[in-house]
Amino acid sequence: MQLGHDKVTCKQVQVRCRYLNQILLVLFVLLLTVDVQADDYLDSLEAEVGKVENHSFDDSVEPKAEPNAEDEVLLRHEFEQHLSQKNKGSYTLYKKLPERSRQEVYEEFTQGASMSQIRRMIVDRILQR
Amino acid sequence: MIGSFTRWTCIGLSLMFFFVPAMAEDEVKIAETGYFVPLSKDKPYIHVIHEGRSVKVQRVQDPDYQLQGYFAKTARKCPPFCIQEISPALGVDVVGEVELFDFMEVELRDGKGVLIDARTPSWYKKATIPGASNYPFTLLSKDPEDPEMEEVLEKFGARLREDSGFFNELMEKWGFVDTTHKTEKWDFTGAKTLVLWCNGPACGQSPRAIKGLLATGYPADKIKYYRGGMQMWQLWGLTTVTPK
Repeated sequence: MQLGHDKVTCKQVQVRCRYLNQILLVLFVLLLTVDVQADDYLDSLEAEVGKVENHSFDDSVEPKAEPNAEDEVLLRHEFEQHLSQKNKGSYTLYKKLPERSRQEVYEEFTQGASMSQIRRMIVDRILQR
Repeated sequence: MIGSFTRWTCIGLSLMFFFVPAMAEDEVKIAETGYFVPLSKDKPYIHVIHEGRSVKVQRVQDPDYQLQGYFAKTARKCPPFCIQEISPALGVDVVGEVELFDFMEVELRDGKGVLIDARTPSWYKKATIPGASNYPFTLLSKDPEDPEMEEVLEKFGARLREDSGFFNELMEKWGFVDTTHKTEKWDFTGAKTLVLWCNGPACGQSPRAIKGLLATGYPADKIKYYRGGMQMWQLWGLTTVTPK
């Protein structure tokens, strides 16, 4: 009885092993497919970016309409206009600053200072801190 | 009480009389020039910091300008370049150009937000939106446990949660401590607002990046998707920069 049971168990194990092998095989193929899909997507992207090189957006644009901002560096009068529009109070104080301080504030802005830092800087300069 | 209310109403009305003509004058100025195309109704242009310098973002002023080249194409092979859903995931807001201008002017400049060009570096090198940083989708869709991913999350203002102690854990469990932006591993309370974009409505790079970020637990309400991407940006003749 015990022997028979053992035989059945072995058979069951064999059957299970066969299914397990198949399942593992399917999983492996699926994983490969996902990987291949990801690679395919990257390959397609790389192929597309080559097309941008060939049909460059900038090539077809007249220089006067060139939207690329290589030379679009902020000028001081534009900064002052920006300040007067966005922070009228700070602008009023800014106008009272000596030329050197104004230049410093402008340079700080072009280097990436936030508006709150700019406002603080103006007040500091006014209070001579 | 009534006297005070009347006084404040009078002050309010006086201020309105003082400021309204000034606003109207600004609007007329733009209209008078005839040729000036502003970014939006109330923004002629904005200034954005890109690679340490201030860049003026504006629209092409040539009325005869037409978009040509790659981003003027109407069709690309699908798959993989299929039109994307409006929102890549539940809870992620989709933004247009006007909302993006506001974001660039406020959150981005104040360091409270990151504008993410989620395209691969080869795309980024061609041209990008001023103020954008390149975090390719290949990086942002890495496993949440990947050290590179963890490094990026920390750059975005997320904090790895240390052992907060039994008492705090209990408080969190009972709902006395706000856990809205916390996961078991990360505290996203101070995390920055992210705006992700790629090549446009038929680009899957930023949606993949967004899904990758969400998988780490990054709060959906701190992620925004600029679906128009480079295609719409260029269609409106908006300034682009070539990264150095």
